[in-house]
Amino acid sequence: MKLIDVLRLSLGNLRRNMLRTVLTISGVVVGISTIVFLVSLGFGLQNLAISKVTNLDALTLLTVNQSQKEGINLNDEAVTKFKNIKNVIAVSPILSFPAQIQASNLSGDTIAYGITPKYFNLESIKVDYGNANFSSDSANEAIVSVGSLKAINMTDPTTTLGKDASFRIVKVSDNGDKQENVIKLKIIGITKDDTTNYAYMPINVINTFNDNTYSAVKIKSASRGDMDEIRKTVESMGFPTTSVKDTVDQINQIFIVIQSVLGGFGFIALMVAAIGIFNTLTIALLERTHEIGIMKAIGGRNRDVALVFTAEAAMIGLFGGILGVSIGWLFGKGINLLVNFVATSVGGTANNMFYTPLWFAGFVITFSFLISTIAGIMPARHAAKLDPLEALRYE
Amino acid sequence: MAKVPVFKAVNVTKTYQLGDVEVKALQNINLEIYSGEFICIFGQSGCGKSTLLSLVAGLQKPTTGEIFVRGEKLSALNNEGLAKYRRSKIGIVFQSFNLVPSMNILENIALPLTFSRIPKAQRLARAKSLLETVGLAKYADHSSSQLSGGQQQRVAIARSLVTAPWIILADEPTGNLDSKAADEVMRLLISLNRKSKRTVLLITHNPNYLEYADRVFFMEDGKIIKTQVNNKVKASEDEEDEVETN
Repeated sequence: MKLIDVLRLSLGNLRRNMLRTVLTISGVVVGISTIVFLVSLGFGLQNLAISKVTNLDALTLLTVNQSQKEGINLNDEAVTKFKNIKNVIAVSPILSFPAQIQASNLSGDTIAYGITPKYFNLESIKVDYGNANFSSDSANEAIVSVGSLKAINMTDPTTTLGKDASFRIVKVSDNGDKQENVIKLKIIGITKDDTTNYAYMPINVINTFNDNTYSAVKIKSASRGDMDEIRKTVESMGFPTTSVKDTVDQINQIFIVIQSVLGGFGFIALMVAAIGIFNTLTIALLERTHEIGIMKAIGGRNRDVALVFTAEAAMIGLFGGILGVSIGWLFGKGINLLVNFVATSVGGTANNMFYTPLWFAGFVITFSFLISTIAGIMPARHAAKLDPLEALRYE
Repeated sequence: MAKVPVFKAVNVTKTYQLGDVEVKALQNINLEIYSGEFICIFGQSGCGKSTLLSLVAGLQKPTTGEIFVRGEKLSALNNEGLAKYRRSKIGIVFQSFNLVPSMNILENIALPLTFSRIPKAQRLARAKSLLETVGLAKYADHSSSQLSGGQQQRVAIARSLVTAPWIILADEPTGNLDSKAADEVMRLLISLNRKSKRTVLLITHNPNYLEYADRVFFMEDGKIIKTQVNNKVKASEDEEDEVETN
């Protein structure tokens, strides 16, 4: 029997018992849509959590720190080496010192970062007011957070931009010696961040101590996949590294557990559906015993009979899978819309709590197809093994 | 050279176990059927004639003895081989028609060809021509339940012919029919034998049909008690409607 004829016969059989077919498929739909809904929620929350920690760009960023070991220095030589690592597209050194910001006899604590202009791109730092970057590597300019400006009463961006402020840069060396330098810089940009105190300035401006050792170096990789390789190379040079990826990995690990639990609930629902399919086919088997007898008597092979039954189960799984994924996805969309509506109406922000990756949808449909086919195997075998004469006598 | 019989039964017995009772459905059956013969197996119900037919059709196996088809042992075939035998070498007509209710008439006739992997268009064309042969062309789209018993049996005969088998096994094909419908079905079977030289094995308990047969096996209690050879010229032949089957 040709596959197309098997499908024709199976479809005909499914159509003949429309109500039962619809009910059986509904069982699968409930199971599949539950899985899709719950796991999409998991994926959505995972993405949300990660996006609150960082953006995707940050996952291509590696921070190299000064080594504690003798003789390994994070200097220009090291920076050149980093630049030569495969798939590194940018390297940006940082010098950071504790500092005091001073203006009109007021002063406050902050951290001063000496950076190169490309740093803003690497870190995707959003400058909310004023210029987004320095005019050059050695311009006497600063970009500061609102948090740093609080202490000197200059939190209003409109009046603060363009004003000068003094920065007392403090260097404490390993043996406890303290050096201080004061530099006067023009505030050209302000970030809205009012919880953290920091000030960015060009690296050549901050390096008043003529240091040849950087506090840290940022390395940007061409893609997220290249990160591990680059990281290994850098660490083999003796430098400790940190990456947002560490945090994200931890988040991901937590979500694997959450996903498994959510998916587990859905899986149970799908198992119930599989039992439903089994039940449906077993009843269909009884109903169609006589028909199976006819098929065998006029030359149908055992295999043909088994194929027709298996195909029925497989089709229930496939239809149920496709429908279940669609409904689970739509349900998530609906809930998300509702939650966002409530959230925005009370002044919150709208978020995407549900995310259904395409691979996951494909996986679930395949899964449903397979589970259903497996549920159909036993009734199909049973049908195939029926004695033709006894089946013919069965009414 | 001796003619090889189409069917040959050698010491065939069939016993059923019904609880503690052993039922001897067939005892020591020996017969030979030759190509082109019209054979009647006659006997009252329960005499074992249907059992004999089911053995010949390969639907069950004899308890002892052997059935040969054109010299080949039927017992040598596995399930797959038996299925192929049924869909290519023989056509079976049942008393209760046995059409598949979920298919229309045309699909029913074409079903054996479906198992033979014949493309849809081809098998439906073949089914259509056979439906014309049995005079039911206009019912092609009907379901079997919309047809009378006689019509259903003609459809069943068309189905048995669809694979162009060289032997037709008919198990009381007129048993559920009124006399007029029964006549039509019998005319069809006789014509298949006379016009297209098919071997017909007819199981019946109606003595009126015995005259059409070349040979009649009389059965009682699972045994063949008498064989009758009809030597007379088949006078009725010219009266039969011509039925073209291919």
